[in-house]
Amino acid sequence: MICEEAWILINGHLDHENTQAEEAQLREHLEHCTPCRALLEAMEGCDEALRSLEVEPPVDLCANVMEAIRQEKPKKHHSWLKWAGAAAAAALVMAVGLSKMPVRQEPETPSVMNARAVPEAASYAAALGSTDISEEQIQELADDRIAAIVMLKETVPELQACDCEELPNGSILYALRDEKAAQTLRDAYELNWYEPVNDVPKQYYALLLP
Amino acid sequence: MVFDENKVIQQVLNGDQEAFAQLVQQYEKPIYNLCLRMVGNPDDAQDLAQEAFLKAWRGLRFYKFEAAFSTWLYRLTSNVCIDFLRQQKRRPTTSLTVGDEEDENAELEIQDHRPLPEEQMVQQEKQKAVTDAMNQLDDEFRMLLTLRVMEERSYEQIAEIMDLKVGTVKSRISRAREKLRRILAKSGNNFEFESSN
Repeated sequence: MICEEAWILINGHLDHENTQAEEAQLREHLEHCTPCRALLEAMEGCDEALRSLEVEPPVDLCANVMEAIRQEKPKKHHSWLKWAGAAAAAALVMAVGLSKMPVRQEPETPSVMNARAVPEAASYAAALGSTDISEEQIQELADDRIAAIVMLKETVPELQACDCEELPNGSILYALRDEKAAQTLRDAYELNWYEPVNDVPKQYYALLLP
Repeated sequence: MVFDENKVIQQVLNGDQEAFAQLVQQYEKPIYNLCLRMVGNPDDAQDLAQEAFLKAWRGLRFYKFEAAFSTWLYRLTSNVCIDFLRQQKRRPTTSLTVGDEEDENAELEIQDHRPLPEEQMVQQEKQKAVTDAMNQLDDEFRMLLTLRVMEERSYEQIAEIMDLKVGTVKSRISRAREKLRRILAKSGNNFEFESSN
């Protein structure tokens, strides 16, 4: 076995992912390879040092979470929204890049953010931004309300003065003043945009995902 | 007594709000530590851990029982941390370990002035070195090492949490370890000690 192959097995060894045969191969290599033995020791030392960083959580973390939960306003229920089930006939999605969403913050504490600050970690972060709400469901909402909807993953300052309601899934629906306000928001933050399939929008909303 | 996670989740979904505390207690340590490693300071980590649990509370009805709750929660927490890091647009620079904070925390200052046993000092130096090295890694490597080494998540779970392929997780963890080791070696910390096997 050459050293490059041993390095793979060293990681497997550290992660307890090696088979017995692989462990035997590694042991055999290490018996006569001083640099690889040193590498393994160094890697074990790093792992051990990393594990030593583990700390206890703040004593009031759980209490604070529960207090915040108790203060959450009760959910309203809207008969119009049947999230599950039937998808809209056709999803008219004028999508403009999910990965260029503005940063997320709770609606209770809006603040100024730079929506174009796309991080270096976007390669996998975009996928982490799963919302558990399908585009079809948002389209259904657009159809039900005969409304154009821009989809937000984070609150933005423009929403502070808007009337809002909470949807059963925890999303917040902000009523925008008019089409211009919706377009401004869409352009500023490069948001996904949904319109009713068969109607001209009568209202404009920003949907802030939970 | 075995913690019946799904039963507790069902209780919460059935309206028992207070049962959620059991889930928080079960996961507060790993979730807080993940936040701490990712964002680099205890105050932000506490806020983010709290935010993650609140999001879990709000979104629990969307949790699908076929996936592990821990994976769902880690994924959600990772997302919260990444959003925060985007917003901050900065690298974590403060120390992650108690006892070597550079802020004006009075209690820690007092602690710093007391002579420490040699072993404890050595341990703190190691922790500081590895903390500094971790902070030099990019977000993805930091998350991978935290999930694998500290949280002991399997490659499969990490793949699910970070939406990567298992093979990618494996190779990137390897690269992350090597990068961490090189950074430590460059700063004079070879850590060639205390083999665990």
